[in-house]
Amino acid sequence: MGDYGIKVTNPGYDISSTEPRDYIINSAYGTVKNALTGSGTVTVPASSSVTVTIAHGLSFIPLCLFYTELSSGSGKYFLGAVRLTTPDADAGNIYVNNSLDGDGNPINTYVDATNLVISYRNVAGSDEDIDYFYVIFGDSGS
Amino acid sequence: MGDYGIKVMKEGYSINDTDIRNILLSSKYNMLKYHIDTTGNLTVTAGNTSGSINFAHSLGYIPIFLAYVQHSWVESVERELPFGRSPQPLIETAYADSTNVTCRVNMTAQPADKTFVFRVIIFKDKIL
Repeated sequence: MGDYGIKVTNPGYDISSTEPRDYIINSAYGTVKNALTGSGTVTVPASSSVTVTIAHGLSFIPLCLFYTELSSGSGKYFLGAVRLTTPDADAGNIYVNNSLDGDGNPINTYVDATNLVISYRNVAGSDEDIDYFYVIFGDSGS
Repeated sequence: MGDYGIKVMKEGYSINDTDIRNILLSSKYNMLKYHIDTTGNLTVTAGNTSGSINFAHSLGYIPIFLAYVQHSWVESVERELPFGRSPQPLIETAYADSTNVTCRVNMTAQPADKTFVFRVIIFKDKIL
């Protein structure tokens, strides 16, 4: 063997396979590592917005995922920047702000080399507490 | 060494390197574990404006997942969910609960049936 590394296949697959999907891990291919996971609750004020800022401490722009229980207590966690027509049967009165500013630049919800920033908007006439969950990966998003 | 574990670096990087991007595997960092990768079709019939499809995961908790959609009547590519946003004429979203991953369509009424091909990748890792 001319090179060194580690590889482990899924059950039923031969170690000589050249199909990446047959492997649990193969040092020939990069992996996506969970650098930081967390959750929180935020109060979204009535007829207003709130921003959640999560410092990731990575010094590069990472891959990330986030999920939100837009309708408090529903048990339904929506993937990503969701903006539905409110009120919605599953998402209630909350949506994720992912709009553009006057110059056509994305604002509100983004990740940069310092933070994951999520902005929520509440169209209801009363404050709502919602739960969110995030995974920030130790791999570059850019 | 005060702790124990396994650590494997990418080719060309020292085992002492601390940049997480250079690590292939480390017992210090969890990695997502694959559960299922499956597809399903949802047809929104002419004149209707919404629909949903459930993908059962049998995990008993709310899992991390990804979702994609193919607009089969016009393209072969897959687009990442969520796609679109209010007030656009087509919005596709996905959520998970402790039983299913549900993909949803909200759209303006069309004169012909539209078939959406959803693909979900569900991991064994928990949201909740």
